[in-house]
Amino acid sequence: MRWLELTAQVESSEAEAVAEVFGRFGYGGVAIEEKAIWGCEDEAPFPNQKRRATIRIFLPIDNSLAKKRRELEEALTCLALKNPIKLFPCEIDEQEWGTAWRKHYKTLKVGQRLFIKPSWEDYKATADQVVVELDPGMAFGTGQHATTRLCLVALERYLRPGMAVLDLGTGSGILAIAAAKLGASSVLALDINTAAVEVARSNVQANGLCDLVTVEEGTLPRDEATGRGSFDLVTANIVADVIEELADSLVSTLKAQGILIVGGIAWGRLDGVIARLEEEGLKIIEVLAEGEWRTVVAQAKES
Amino acid sequence: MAKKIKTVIKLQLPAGQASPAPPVGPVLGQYGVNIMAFCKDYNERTASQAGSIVPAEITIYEDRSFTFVLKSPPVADLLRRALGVEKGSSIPNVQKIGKLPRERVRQIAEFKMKDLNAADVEGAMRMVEGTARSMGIEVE
Repeated sequence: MRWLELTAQVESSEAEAVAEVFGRFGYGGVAIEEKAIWGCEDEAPFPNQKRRATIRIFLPIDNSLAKKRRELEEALTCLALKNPIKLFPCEIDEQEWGTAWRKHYKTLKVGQRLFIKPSWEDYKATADQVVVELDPGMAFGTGQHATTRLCLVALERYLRPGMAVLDLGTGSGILAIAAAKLGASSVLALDINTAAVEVARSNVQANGLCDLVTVEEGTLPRDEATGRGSFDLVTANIVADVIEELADSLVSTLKAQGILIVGGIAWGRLDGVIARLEEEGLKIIEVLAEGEWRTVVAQAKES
Repeated sequence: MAKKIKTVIKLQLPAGQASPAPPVGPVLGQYGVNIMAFCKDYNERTASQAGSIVPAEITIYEDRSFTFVLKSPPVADLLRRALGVEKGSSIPNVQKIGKLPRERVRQIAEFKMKDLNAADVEGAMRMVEGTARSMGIEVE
């Protein structure tokens, strides 16, 4: 079967009305994509942009196509918009859409011996390689982003077998799972997002690490018994604001000479984060960089 | 994490019936979004609203992970329910399917205000009226 994809570019304020007309004819529904320059989560899109939207539907190419298209065009004129809507048609082939998205993911080598593998790929690892099985989904941390990779590299470099690890803002659980696979004796993974906690738990299970990795909903500071001075290595791949805000709590969870790995830092925020960590008495050991992203490795004092 | 956003897509789908067929498959698939994970979650979260169109606003991050929130039903759905009709007129300029008082239009506009990108209620009402007109509904 073949499909006709019909798109139209409209002003953001007209999107809802146009989408509703499109939706009457489109198979299975209608898609509206806001064209904007996006920043990070919780930030509004770049201001003063002229907001545009793309409305998109799909029609099966069959005997009724010409009639539907005529009716759609008629209905659009009834909206009486300032500018008439121009339709852009494009024919596409039917695909196995349920699995076609997987082509974006291959087993990914990170650092010296870490591999991030989607569940549907076969990968025969050698004895010294560490494989994390992870399917992308509704939690950040697929290994496809520089900031995740930088933290994985730092983890591989500084994690020693037997270490107790805390991962703050675990997302998909990727860093917590990698830590356990690299030899951590126990890992506590925290996230404030309920959906992420569920995703992380199922990823931990898929990797057979339920006895080593505990995933909980929450953040720092934690109560004395489970927080203060109990971790050899702490990772927080979040964002500069959160790291600066929680710096004292993060540092207080470290044992003497414990290692702190913080990521998700845009290059322009690096100096501020370093200053904040030094203020808390940490020594900066290394800064890793890829593109605009920085990951900082720091160490706690001897006592 | 530094969840940098790649794009935001709103899909208006029948509750509980998302599948990898269009529009979900081709629209989300091009960004490498896990289609099955989206469909499963959408269908679970909208199961109780069967019969309505429930928009999902999907935020796709740069590492292809995503989240989504459900939005209130589209204006056309609200208009259809206000009039108790199944669908709009296919020849709206000739065949009218019903009349709706302005007060009702205002209610719908106020309810949808957040999602409509309108500057004020009057602007939102004009959008609702435009949609009503295109469905063959007269506003009086």
